[in-house]
Amino acid sequence: MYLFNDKINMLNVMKSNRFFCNSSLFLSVSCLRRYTSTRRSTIFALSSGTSRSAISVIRISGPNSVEVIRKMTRLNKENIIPRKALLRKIVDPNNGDLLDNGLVLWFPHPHSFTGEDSVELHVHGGIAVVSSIISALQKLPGFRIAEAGEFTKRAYLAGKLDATEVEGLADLLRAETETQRRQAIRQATGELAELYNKWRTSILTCMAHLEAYVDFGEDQDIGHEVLSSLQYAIQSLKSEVGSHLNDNRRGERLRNGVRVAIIGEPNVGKSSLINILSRRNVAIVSPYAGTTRDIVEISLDIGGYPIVLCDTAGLRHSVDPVENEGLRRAREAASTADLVIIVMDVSTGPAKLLQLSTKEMARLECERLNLSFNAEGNYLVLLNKLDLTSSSVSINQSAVSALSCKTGQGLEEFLVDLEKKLAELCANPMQEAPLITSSRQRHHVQVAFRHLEKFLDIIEQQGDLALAGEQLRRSAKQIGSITARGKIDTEEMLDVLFRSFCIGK
Amino acid sequence: MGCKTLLLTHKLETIGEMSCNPSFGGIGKGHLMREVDALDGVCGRICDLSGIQYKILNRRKGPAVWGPRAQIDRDLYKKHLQAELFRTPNLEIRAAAVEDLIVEKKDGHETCMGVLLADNTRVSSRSVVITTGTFLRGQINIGLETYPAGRMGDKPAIGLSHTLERLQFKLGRLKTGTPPRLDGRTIDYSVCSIQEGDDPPAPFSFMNERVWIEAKDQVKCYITHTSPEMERIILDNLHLDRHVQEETRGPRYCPSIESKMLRFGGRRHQIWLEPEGLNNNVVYPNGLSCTLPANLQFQMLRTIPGLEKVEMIRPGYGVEYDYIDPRQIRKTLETKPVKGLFFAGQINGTTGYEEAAAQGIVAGINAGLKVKEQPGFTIDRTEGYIGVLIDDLTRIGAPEPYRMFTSRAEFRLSLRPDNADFRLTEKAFPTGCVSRDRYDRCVKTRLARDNAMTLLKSIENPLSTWRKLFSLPATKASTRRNAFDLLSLSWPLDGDNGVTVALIDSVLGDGRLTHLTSDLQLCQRLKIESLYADAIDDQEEDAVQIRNEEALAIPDDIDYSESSMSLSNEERGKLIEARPLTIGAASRISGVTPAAILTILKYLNRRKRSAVIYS
Repeated sequence: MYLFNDKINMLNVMKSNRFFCNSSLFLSVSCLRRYTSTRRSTIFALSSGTSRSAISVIRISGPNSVEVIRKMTRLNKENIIPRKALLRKIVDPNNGDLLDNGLVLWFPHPHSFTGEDSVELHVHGGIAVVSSIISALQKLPGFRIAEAGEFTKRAYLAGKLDATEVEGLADLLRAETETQRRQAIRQATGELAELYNKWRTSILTCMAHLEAYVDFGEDQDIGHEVLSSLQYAIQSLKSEVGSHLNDNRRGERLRNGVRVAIIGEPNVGKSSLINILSRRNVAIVSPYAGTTRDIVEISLDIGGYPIVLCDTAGLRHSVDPVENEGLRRAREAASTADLVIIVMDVSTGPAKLLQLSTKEMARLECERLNLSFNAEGNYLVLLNKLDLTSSSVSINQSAVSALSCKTGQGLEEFLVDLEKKLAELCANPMQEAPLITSSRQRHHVQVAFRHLEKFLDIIEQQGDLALAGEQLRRSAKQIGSITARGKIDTEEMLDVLFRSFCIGK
Repeated sequence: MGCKTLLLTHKLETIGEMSCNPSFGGIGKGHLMREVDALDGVCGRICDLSGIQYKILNRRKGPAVWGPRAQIDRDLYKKHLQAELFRTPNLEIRAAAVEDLIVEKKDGHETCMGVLLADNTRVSSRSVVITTGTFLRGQINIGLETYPAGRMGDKPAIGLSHTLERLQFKLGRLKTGTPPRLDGRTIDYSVCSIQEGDDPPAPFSFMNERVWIEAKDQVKCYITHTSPEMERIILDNLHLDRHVQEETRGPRYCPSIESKMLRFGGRRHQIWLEPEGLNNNVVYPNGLSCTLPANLQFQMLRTIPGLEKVEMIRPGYGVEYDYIDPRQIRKTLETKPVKGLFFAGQINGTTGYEEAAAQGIVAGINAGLKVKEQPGFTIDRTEGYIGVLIDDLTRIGAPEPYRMFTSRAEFRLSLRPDNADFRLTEKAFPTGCVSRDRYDRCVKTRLARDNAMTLLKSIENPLSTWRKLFSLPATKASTRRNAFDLLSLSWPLDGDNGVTVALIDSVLGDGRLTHLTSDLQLCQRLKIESLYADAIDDQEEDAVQIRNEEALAIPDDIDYSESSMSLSNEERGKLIEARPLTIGAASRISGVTPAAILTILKYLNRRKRSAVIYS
């Protein structure tokens, strides 16, 4: 209270000194920005379709498009020639990580399809690259994924399209939305859709309750307790959405790559395997045991799945401190990997091993190598040096392959096995839709989550309910745009409201 | 606007008669009144002269949803409104019933050329506005009795209904009701809770600094509630209640006490006891709209706490009346089938004084513009509640009586009661409907606001410095905030108000802001704008999209069944029924895909026409 009184006293002092201030200084400046500004976001989309292809085209359009040039290709607007393809490294705008080498095209407005500043990135096809670039674009301020038909709509509004062009595009878009619709219907029966619809219903109910309190709280007997029940409902929804976002390890794998550790005794051909997989010499291969002392990591795309391969030191007892450190790291890599490939030398390994199941084989080999075995873990067993054995190797386990890194014999079969395993590791148990839809979904869920957080902040601080309502509305809009049920409109909200409350004065 | 205008009504003495509740405004409705006032409509100003209790509802829920409301003295309202109308230049007022419209084909379009009165007088006119309220083939229901009337004691308008049918308008029936009236001297208020007016009472009109009544002279309202006994009386006698029996397509909300009991039985429902005037004893029991036979209404009333000995002055009754499907009108409120003919108010399916006033002003402005052969005046969803109201009506129709709620306005954060003048006064000034006085005042206020905002934004400090100035515990936050941003904060310094211009001025201590602090209205505007500035910025893209799409008009004669359109059956059906007037309206119809929107764009492009509302 002291504080308060002091302020009042100061205020009085200031009032008596009013002749000091000069208001005419500021008379000339007018501030109409809020009513006249035409802010638009910059939109992007994979415009070459979602099926696997050699080259994918990502299109970006909007006032901030130049940010892609600046932050992801490290060029200035000045030193890029409009409409000329340029080969550049494409990097993550935040940490500068290399995402791909690709072509960059710059279309300054108005000479672009949409009439806005636009950029096209022609990158290597494949889920890993496109997904990393899409998620990088999402990090740029003011960027969002385009809605269906949005490029065309912008082009139309900018007066860029004549009738025939629009006609062709309308057909194209119709086909596209038809696919999306079918996709949406397919998903509508899936677990994921059920979950999203459940969220949508919770938000809808919360909106109806909040709006009842705002619009009719004073009219009818709708008391303050509505707010605390709302707070509770949104709290639990928020944690559900949050855990959905976090728990999605498979999504993470798809984004960051499946970590694959290659382990085995020294000199069984682990590094040869990496080299044959990457088709270039990344690891030093030599016939001498103990050549690989540190971990060699390499990112690869196998069958469209991103993986990070870790070559490790051969596991044996050693007195060399450097090699021992390498062994420690190898063990760590094995224990944190999503998939462990155990390499054995088929020419020296005990033949009896082949009679066992894959899991058992892996367990025994881990024991032998003094590694901890995880019964829930994913293992592939690879019998190398097929060229050195004269007897034919018969394998009846699905996760066991035999090959020769030296001759390439058996490599195709191994790749099939590996791809199958990767598909298993990356696939969503809830039948998640293809890439572009799912990164769109993730984006929407993330934004929805943030709005729920903000809503709770406002309610906790007993803040403005119109602002709180806006957060719910935005959150619902995000969830609504992933479900087949679509957006929540006022009428639907009012239906719920009038069913739940007795309104009418 | 300088047009020679004739007002025709059944009786001169009922001009300004408030047919139902003795109050104006409320949540959503108060927003409409502020907008009507910003367009220089009269109801706000008249309410500032006739109110007997003023109260801003939703005080604690945020300024965007504040609901200015007032209890109005019926006699004062009628007196002041009549005085205003009778001295309005260019306005002639005549008592007469309109029996028919004079409609002729002009340039291939049905065009309204005037009206035909009951005594066969022809009145010719370039535009005609019809505001029939509940009078169009009106019928009153009490119990099982029913007789034709527009309002208790007033004749209905029958001829006009036939005319509209003949002109191919799609008509429907809607219902409303009014509660019984009570003798205040026979009410025991001691068992009721009290509701008092605000101090100071805030005026509705941007032109007024204060209202006519002193805060202390305001009347009180009281709240009581329903009883279980009453529920029994109502439910036992539904067979005697024709109005409720027939409520086949009743609204989703509960307009009558019968519907409350039917749908939400076993609960206590509030009843507000509202005085109808300073100089009479009539009390309006709000929430008790009822159509039981009179003797049962009386029985029912006496079961209510505080009304055990009440005398009923007259019973409540139900009214049903014709309305036209508002999807047949344009956003100017001119009808699609007949040029020069405008509809406003309950005839378009709305309920409430404020909703009617909102349409009345838009129809009036456009009827005038039509005469002057100027382009129409419309308000879109991003500009005002009036725009939301008219867009909803013309797009989805009125399957139930349409009432305004703030939740209908997606741009609620920017469409606030405090800034209705900035949104609409300058926009409407070129049409001639806004007086010079009001315009000048609005411009002056805006300039003062802009200057103050620029000044506030020029005072910038790291947040930590501000906290120090406000003697708050230090934080590490190093973000810079200007004084305008600061206004949005709720730092617990001055009770409920948070940071105010006066407080910033006092902590700065250099007098830079002192000249602002005496203008309390300005200070409040600044605080409210700051509160919503960020959120409104976030909405800007949505608003731009709506404005862009609203700018693309779809001509009336578009043929959705044309083969080149290749629309799906579902889309075609929906588009034909809704007949959207703009691309924006089309894209808000559920089930219409982006592809269909592009198809329509293509069609428009081929016709190489853009503005066709007034073709």
